[in-house]
Amino acid sequence: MKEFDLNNIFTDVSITGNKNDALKKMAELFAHENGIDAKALVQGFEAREKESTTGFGNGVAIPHAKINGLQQPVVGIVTFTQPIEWESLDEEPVEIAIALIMPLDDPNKEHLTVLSKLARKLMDDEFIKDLQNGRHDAKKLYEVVTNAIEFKA
Amino acid sequence: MAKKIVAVTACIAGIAHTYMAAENLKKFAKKEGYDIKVETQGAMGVENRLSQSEIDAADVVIFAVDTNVQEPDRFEGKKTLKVGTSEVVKDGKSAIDQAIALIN
Repeated sequence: MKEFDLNNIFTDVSITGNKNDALKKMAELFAHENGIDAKALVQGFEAREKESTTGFGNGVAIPHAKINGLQQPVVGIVTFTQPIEWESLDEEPVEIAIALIMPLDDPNKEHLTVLSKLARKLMDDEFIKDLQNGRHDAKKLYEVVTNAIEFKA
Repeated sequence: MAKKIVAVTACIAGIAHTYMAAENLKKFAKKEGYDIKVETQGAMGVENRLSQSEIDAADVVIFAVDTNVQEPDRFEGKKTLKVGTSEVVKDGKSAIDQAIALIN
């Protein structure tokens, strides 16, 4: 098992509703795939969004949550058929959400290093363009992200 | 000589915005031809730590933080722009321009 794999990429997910509906759907998908409690996950996502939006612009958001008892971080991607209003910094709706699900107390610096590299990469216009171009194709998204960040197998 | 900027970034969770803000400051400082070094105070602790001589040599300081800066004494007496990480993630150019405006 590693932090990021194809099973955690869901493309063209149809959401009727708003950001909270999208977060709920994302929590269900990742909870099921990774054996996480869906309720704890959606609460974590919502709490973080209340602090400040994770929609950082260019149609991309990075909802994150810390989960008690999780063994290692999970990075997952959901793309939406219809853009979701996310109260983003640039006020544009979100088509791609990258979820960062962290163990509550994670002393493992390698995990954090991986996530910080991903965060830095999000400021790279080319990377965002590649994500946008790949948003209907899970394999393509997997390639774009793994080429940018080395995940541990 | 190029103006020298030093910056500290720190967000609440210390996972994403600390590093996004750091990257965006570097991106726009370089675009405008300024020297910059950014210390991140995130979940991994302090990285790319600014030495006192680097701070002393800087023309201006940017704190892009949603929480307290660790060891703020190091920056005493420096001209400092304080903004939130989201502002810097949203508009890195504006943060750099505002900082430079403090010294021009």
